[in-house]
Amino acid sequence: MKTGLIVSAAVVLMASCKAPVAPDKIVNNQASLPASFSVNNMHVITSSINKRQQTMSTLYGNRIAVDRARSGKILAAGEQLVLVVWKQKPDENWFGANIPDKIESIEQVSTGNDPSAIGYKRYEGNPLALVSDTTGNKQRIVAIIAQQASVMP
Amino acid sequence: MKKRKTFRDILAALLVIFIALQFVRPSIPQQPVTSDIQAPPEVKAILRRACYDCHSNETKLRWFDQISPASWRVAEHIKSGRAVLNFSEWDKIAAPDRAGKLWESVNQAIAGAMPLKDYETIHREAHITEKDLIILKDYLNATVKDHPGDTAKQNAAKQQYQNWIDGKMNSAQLPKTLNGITYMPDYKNWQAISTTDRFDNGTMRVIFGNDIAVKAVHDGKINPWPDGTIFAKVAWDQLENKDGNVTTGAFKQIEYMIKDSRKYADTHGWGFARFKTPQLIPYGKTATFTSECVGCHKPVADRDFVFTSPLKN
Repeated sequence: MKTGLIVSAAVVLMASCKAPVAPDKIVNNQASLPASFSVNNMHVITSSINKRQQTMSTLYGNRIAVDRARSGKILAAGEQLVLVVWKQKPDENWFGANIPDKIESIEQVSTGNDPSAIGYKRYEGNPLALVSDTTGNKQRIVAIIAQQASVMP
Repeated sequence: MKKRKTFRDILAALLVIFIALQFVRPSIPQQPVTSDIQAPPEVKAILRRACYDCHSNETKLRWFDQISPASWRVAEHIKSGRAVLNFSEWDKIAAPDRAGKLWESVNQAIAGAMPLKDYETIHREAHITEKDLIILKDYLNATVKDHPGDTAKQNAAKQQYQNWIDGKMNSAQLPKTLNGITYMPDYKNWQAISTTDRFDNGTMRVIFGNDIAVKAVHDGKINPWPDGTIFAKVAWDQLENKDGNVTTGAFKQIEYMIKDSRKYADTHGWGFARFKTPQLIPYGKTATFTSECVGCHKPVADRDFVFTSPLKN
């Protein structure tokens, strides 16, 4: 009788529990940044989506850049900005959401002691490689530094 | 001989108990249909077949549902089912939340969390097939509309942004939820572990993780997440321009998940909190609001109740 109860309880428990998913299957490896492009010393300024291109992006900044953007001021000296653009993919865990997929590009904008001296680099491909064609760089810089910080109370 | 007699006695006693049990019936309240959900017939047919027994006032009890002790479990299902979602009292759900309830319901069905397995085993007709899911998904997808150049949303965002950079949003006292979680303003200096484009409700989100969460991602120790992990998920309106570019609009809400397997043992080790609007109004009318959080997170129980697939920064 006792054994029977234990067995049936175990059967019910097993039926209601799924085996835990392996952590490596949970991490979004494809969207992860290669170590050489780490932004772990930076913070989020804003994020955006392009519905037509089905991409999503996040703009990160160093402390100077974040403080400047969150107070609505213009570009300062010593800023580092990184814009990561991902292809989107449907979220397997939520019908109704898209999440980052493969990295499309990483752009880096920086200012030196003189905030008008702006450096810009763009990386694309897998593995990410520096894009040597400088056409359109100016527009990209303007577009990146114009991004307004997201409201974070 | 004696053994056989004892066995017969036990059987007889069990039978008496079983018969007696039939006189102790749980009550299932009969409630009127005040406003039934409006949906295309093919969608309605699935909802009726798979959900209505527990999520409407049109419960159809079969003979086997009425035999005690099973009837008690049936009554419990109906009671809790109606409390969470009742298609017969659709007008009692605030209009903006109705679509959210439907998306959540379909997600529960996709994840196999609904209908409940023990109910479905006995009520085979309630099973939601792959074909049913396609019908439900198509219906919901058709409700998604882009609104480029929404001036109301633009104005709301503009005003909020101005208030924020002018420092007008800083409240003297940090709000606290009924389950004792205080707003943590420092989330904005944590690492982003993912972003989501929630086209189901026209918002976009950044999910931040504290140092413990970020380290856990790097160490691959995220199922279960370690105690001390905190997530902050911030949602904004999607502001779309004519070229399909979407930027963050008005701040909608922030949600926290705090891992403390002892303190929050009742909610699978997670403390849940939500603060809405720039006024940061704590969500939940009573401390039991967290049962709503747990209910929604149940389909990802095999991922320690966390939906987010974190990326390494």
